[in-house]
Amino acid sequence: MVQILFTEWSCNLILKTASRRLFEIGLTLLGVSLVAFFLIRMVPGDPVTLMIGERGASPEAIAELKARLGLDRSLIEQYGLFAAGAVRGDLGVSILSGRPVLGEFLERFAATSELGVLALILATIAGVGLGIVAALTRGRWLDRVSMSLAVTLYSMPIFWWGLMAIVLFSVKLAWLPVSGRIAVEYDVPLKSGWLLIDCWMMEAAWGEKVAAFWSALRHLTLPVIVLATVPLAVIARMTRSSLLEVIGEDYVRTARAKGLSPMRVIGLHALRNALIPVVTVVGLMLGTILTGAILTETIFSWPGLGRWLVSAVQSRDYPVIQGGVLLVAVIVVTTSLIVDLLSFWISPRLRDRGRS
Amino acid sequence: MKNLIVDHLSIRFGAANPVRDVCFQLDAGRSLGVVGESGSGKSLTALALMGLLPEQAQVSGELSWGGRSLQTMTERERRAVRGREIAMIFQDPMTCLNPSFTVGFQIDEVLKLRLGIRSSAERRKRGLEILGDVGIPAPETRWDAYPHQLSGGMSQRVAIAQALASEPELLIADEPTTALDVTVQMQILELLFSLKKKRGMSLLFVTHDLSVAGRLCDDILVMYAGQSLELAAAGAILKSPQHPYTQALLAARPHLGGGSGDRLKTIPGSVPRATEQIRGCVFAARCEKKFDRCEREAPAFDATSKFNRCFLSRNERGSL
Ligand SMILES: Nc1ncnc2c1ncn2[C@@H]1O[C@H](COP(=O)(O)OP(=O)(O)OP(=O)(O)O)[C@@H](O)[C@H]1O
Ligand code: SF4
Ligand SMILES: [Mg+2]
Repeated sequence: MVQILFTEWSCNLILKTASRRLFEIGLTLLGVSLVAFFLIRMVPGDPVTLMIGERGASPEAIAELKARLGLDRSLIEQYGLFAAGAVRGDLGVSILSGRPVLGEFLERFAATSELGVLALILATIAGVGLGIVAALTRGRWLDRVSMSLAVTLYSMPIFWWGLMAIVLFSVKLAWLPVSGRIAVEYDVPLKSGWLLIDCWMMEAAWGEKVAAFWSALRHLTLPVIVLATVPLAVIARMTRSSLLEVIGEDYVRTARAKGLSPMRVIGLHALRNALIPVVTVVGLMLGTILTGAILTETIFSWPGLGRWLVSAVQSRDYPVIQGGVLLVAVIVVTTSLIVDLLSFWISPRLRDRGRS
Repeated sequence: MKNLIVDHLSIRFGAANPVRDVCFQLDAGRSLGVVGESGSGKSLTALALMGLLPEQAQVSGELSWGGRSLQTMTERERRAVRGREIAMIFQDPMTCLNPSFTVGFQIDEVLKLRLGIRSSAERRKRGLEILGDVGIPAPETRWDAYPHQLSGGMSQRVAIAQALASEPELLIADEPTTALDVTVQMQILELLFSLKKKRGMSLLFVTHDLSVAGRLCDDILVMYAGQSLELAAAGAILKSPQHPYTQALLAARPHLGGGSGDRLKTIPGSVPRATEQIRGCVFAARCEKKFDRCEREAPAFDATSKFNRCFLSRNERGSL
């Protein structure tokens, strides 16, 4: 299969698709930057008044602070400066912390991505598995149970369900921690930003590494499950219907007629085709996961992008908001590009259609 | 080499009984053309032989392959026969090949899993040979092609190749050319019958074209409304059909060289529905030669010899 990817023409195709998409991506990012920039400035209140706030300050002091932050310039000028910086990779510094936006983003993104990637993996594996089981037991009780489960999961508001999970598993049963990424006694220096990896890289005895890993894993469990529920349900339903459709196809009957084992007929000949639309859905779920992460992080006090952006909005930290939103958009857009190329790659027919 | 005997095969889906009573025998190395109108139960009969009927089908009767009953086999034994001793190709080659795998992969898996050839180089060599055998020019260039990159005729050749890769003793071909361009239809049929001869396998050829079947096959089985009506040598069927339905079919056949103005003589009336209960002869409603007994009683026949299911041929008109 790797060989397929590297045949000359499919490489050309991927380049062509990528360059066309790159143009679209440019437009998208321009739009996002405009919206992020102007929308937050339309919200009443500005960072300076909020910072100085009730303490009160002389109008001169306020004006001076505004000038220092560049807020005295015209909006057009401010946007121009922001955009010019962004193109160079400089998103300015946070008004609140004084640290570069990009650095803070990367730190927070590590926490969010650890949560989001694990949730997406869980949703994909469990969703595809559940979908297969349901398709193979179509109409029987196992199918009914798993599909009603999917509908239930799908329609559960994430906020309510997160709180219920905390109440049950953390408070009542005390099986899992309530919030945070790891227990306070572990001080894991961040390298990759993923605690599950970093705890193996810290200078400590084996026992402590294992204990830190275990603690990080326990902290991840509930938020990952909560974040994975909606995508899981969507992926399960998509897998089920796609597999049922494919099982009725002539080529699946051909595979049976060749006397292949049911494992091979379903698991290879049918599933390979059934997964093509599922890959697209998994890609769409990336967006769902990112928005879900904001809620999940709030519920579980997870120090990720969601909480970072929410508090930036509360304090009108303009550089963090405009830069952070732009960077989130960059991530969504790149991952969806990757998913597009992936679905091209797994379907020979699409690959050729895209070529012509 | 094995004989195939189908005896009183009936297939039901609840109240529908699309295959009512099918009997025939196909001796090793011979070819049998199964001819009948759309809906006469040809494909269902073929699928029953493969053990590929939908789960809800209720099957009765006897299917015997080389003296072994296909119905009493376990699913495991059945799978050992399916695709290995009895292979099948289908009507529409464009939908019958898996769009996600290359031609080579789909042939290779038969050689690997059904013939147990371990060496992949050996499998590739054998696979390319087979592709050559089915008349694919420059097989190496097709080995890594995907089905959508092939024409209909090429796809059907690939489908034949993957069915023959397991060296079956019986090949079932269910209207293998109906979906193809007229120009390639004959090529594919000639290929099929020449391969049959070369390999000495038996061939069950399903078609709705009596003259094509008559030209190519050793024997012909005529089916109507889920019943086998007449089984005879191809020459005999074309020259002196015994059953009134076969006679009507031949009369309705367009004649070569006949002017385009010639009217086809069609059979009046329509085929009984699969849900209809039929007490007498299934053809009675449309038969020109029907007499009073035909609607009361079903004409009998036996499976192992050539037969025709009509009272007239048995000179039974006066009895009762
Ligand atoms: N799964 C099923 N459930 C109910 N009825 C079925 C089913 N499959 C086939 N039938 C019925 O059985 C009848 C015979 O079908 P079959 O496909 O064997 O006909 P055929 O002789 O192959 O016709 P054709 O020339 O159109 O291929 C059809 O009328 C069809 O409606
Ligand atoms: S049995 Fe009677 S109705 Fe049937 S084909 Fe013969 S003559 Fe016609
Ligand atoms: Mg058919």
